[in-house]
Amino acid sequence: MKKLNILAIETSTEACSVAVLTHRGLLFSEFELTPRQHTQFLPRMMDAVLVQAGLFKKDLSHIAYASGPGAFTGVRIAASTAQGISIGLDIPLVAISTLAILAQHCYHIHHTERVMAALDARMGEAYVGNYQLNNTSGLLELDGEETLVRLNQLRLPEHYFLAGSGFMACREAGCLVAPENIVDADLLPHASALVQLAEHAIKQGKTLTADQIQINYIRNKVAEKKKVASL
Amino acid sequence: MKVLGLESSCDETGIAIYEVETGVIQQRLYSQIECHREYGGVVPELASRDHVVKAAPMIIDLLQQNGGVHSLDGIVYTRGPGLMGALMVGACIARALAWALDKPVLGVHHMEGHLLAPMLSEDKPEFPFVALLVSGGHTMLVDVEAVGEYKILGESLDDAVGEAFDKTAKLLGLPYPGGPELAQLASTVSATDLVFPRPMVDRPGLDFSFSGLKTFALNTMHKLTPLSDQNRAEIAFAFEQAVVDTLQIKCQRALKQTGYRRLVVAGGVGANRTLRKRLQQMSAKLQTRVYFPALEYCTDNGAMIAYAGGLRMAAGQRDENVTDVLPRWSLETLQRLN
Ligand SMILES: Nc1ncnc2c1ncn2[C@@H]1O[C@H](COP(=O)(O)OP(=O)(O)O)[C@@H](O)[C@H]1O
Repeated sequence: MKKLNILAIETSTEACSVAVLTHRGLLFSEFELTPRQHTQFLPRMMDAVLVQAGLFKKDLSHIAYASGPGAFTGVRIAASTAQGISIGLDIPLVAISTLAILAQHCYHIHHTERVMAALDARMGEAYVGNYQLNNTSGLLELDGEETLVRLNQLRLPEHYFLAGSGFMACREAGCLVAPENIVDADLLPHASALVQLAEHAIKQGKTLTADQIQINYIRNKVAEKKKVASL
Repeated sequence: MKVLGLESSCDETGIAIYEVETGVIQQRLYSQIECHREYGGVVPELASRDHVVKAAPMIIDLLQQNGGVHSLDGIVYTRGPGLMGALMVGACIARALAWALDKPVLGVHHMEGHLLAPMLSEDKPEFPFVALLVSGGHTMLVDVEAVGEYKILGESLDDAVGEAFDKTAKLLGLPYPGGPELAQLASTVSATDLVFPRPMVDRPGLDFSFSGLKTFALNTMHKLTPLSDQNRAEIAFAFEQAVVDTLQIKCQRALKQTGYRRLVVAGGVGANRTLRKRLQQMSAKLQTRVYFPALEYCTDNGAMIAYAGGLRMAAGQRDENVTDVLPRWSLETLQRLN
């Protein structure tokens, strides 16, 4: 079996990030704010983390990607890039929720054991998930379901830290009722958190092949069905 | 040189492997028509969602049957024109595959794929030729001097022919995409008193305009309401005759203007039998020749992309650091291949 060397890519928001976790437990990552330029930065960043880690492409054992929710095209950039890499290197994929990545990253930055992660979904809505620390794994886990919620119907659970652009949208819509010290609305998902969640998922056998690609858009109604005109 | 080609510019996911030296081509095609039917047209976001699910299984299957991923010398894909999000899926898979394999990659112009599709037949046209590109998104006459040396002689100022077929079919209550259905309905009659205009044939030049025909069809329907099945069939017939006449007149003009003796018809509407027959008759009269791609290469497909890309790659062309897709991209900006 190949030694565990995981490459992780995250492009679901205006940020683009890449990380690699080596079998020695070393983590290298790159992060850039690159609105609408993910495809431009991604290849360079993948090369960069591999050089930092001293790995060749053929040393990679898994390719992890942020599988949404988020910007539709952005989510597909990571997913389809991961598919290409998976087929080219003949390695499995690992799909990790963008909200889980955001929550985990929040834990790394703010040491918050309970995180409500929310991403701006536009049109007055946000993608939302509540995450709690599991002390055994040291990772935040989903409590309940990830959902699409109207900003003015967002219920803030007690003792949760609030992370992500969803709360920015809330603030702008004037419906955020929370003290500033429990909010980080600027926080973006980061591939360093993705790669750690991926390592755990791999140990639990949660891997995919390229033809099993998983994307969780959450918002699935994207067009109105029309009646065929008739005379 | 053996290349993998990916096409995802609109609502067909096409994957092909082309070996330049032997000319052997293998392809897989998935059409999303069913997925868009209930919306009455292509929904770009749904098209993108479907590509990301459908492309990989076809790539894996095709590679398994054809020597595996390491037998590839390069990857080519449709870089444009087309739907942004849909193009992005094919482009990302292709570039990531090339990155993983350390193999060259090249973005292909979708319309060049269509233009060169007749080259996949036994009986290939020689250069130069006039190409009539007629699809759901495009209508143009192109002067093809060589691979990559294209001059647009004329194009549609409004609806593409396929679009006009589809919209008129929709008015007639036919399911999406109505082009073939309308043609089928038209074939049930052989004459009518209805006369549709032949747009822009009385004016010099090689541009087209088809949106007026659809309006004319609508007005005719209002006049005849309530419509009998016979009325519907006659409207379909008269519409098709008007389109085919117009296309034929312009093709004849383009052959005369260029002095070329070969006409190549490409794109989905190239499947239309009435058009095929009419252009055959014209060619017999003018002592020119007309070439049609095999039906499977008429509509969007991966084979034509693998072919066009394979030719270019075999000639040494590569993309260095291309990271975008081009939803709008003029044929005339392409590099000539020598
Ligand atoms: N037999 C036919 N008669 C008329 N139109 C047709 C026929 N077969 C296909 N079409 C039309 O061709 C178009 C599809 O062609 P294609 O080359 O796939 O175009 P695009 O990719 O631009 O949509 C559709 O508009 C369809 O209705």
